[in-house]
Amino acid sequence: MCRCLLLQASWNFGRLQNIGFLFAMAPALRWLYQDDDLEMAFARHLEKFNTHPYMAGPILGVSLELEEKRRAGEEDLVDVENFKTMTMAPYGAMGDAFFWGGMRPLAAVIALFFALYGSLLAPLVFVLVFNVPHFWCRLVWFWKGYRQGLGMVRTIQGWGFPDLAIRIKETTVILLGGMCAYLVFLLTGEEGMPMVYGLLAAPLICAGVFMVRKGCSSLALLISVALMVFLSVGL
Amino acid sequence: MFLFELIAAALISIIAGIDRTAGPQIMLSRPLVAAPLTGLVLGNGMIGLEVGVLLELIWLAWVPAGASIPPDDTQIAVGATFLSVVFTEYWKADPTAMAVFAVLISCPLGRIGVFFDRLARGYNDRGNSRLLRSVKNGVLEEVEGVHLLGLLYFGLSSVLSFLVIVLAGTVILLNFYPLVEKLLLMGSNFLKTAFPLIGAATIIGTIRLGHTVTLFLVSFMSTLLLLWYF
Repeated sequence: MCRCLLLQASWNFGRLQNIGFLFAMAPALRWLYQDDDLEMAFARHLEKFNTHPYMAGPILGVSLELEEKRRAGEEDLVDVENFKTMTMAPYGAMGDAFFWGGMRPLAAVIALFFALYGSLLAPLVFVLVFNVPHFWCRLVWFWKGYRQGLGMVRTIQGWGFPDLAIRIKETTVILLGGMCAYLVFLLTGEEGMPMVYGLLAAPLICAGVFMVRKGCSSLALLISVALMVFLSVGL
Repeated sequence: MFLFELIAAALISIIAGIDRTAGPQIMLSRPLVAAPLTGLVLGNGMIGLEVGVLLELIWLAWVPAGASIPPDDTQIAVGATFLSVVFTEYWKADPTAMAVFAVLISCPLGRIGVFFDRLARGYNDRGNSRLLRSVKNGVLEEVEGVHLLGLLYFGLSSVLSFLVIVLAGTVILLNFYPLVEKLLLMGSNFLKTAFPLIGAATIIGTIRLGHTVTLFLVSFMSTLLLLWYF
């Protein structure tokens, strides 16, 4: 399991996370197999592999269980190669939506509230809010994958990750609205502007949203806004 | 003294850079974590916190899926914090103005991180080819070595990105900061607010849910009115 934390150390364009997966599986494979069998097992796990790093845990656990069955001469519904091929893409999509698209922005916005108050606890808050569920998922699902085998697929399906990701994104958007309002409130106070000017921020942010959806990059927006600010204060 | 600070920041750039892709991804690579950490080590955590606030949301919505490599906001954060702390001390400058300028010049320079990241992955490609040949020939002991060498490649790519940002940033700061200092002092509050708002717009623009903008506007307006009233 600890080796799984370094899944992407050897990420390559050719077969993506293949070496990382084998690195995680290698001690178990060496224990299960010898000689030609071990060589074949290594070759099996050097095939192309790509999934969300936190979702590799259950795939590893189930793969380990399937390898044990193979070693014992038992057959299951699906062999380990097909299981990996079938699950890596959907688990990758789930992980991207839930962790990168949901949990990470949520943790960031919560931490930003602390940062805006000038608290150096903000980084700690970020790390804790994000990593408690992250490590729980990694450890528990690896263990459950090993214990339940292919039944783990139903377990993960039962969690309803896509819906959970949507709820988290909605929560993040609401918190973002509050954070932006607080930032604007601070600005109007510091610059001695009437509060009503703060309402102008809403259409400006919507304009930014529109431009992003039309393909404008964050960097271009940053530079444009910086130039506009310099021009306005300069004039 | 400068050398000590550079080495300290370079070490953080390596650790945070490895966490970004090759490591356990426990968010040490995020600007809101890497920048204050850099600032604390260099003796000014608050500047690091400011840099982190400015940068955190900008590329947060960019999902590192598959072969997609986002701009290296980790090295931008560490580099901009280093430049801000050193030059604020050197010129006794306004820390907010310096942080804003350092972030503005570091953001385009951060694109170099994508180049070095690709190089690291390219070297990993060679390792992959070598490992496939070894396993085919029955040599099975190289797995760990090839895999962990990837940490070295990603670490090197991180520190090289950091050094490019710092060196180029130093040249730009020395030549242009005195020219724009007055504009920065007048506009730093606006820019300090604009950066996270742009980041928020980017996140909302990327979240493709049916009522995202409505939710945001309702929350924004109600919070602003509540703050105004109280």
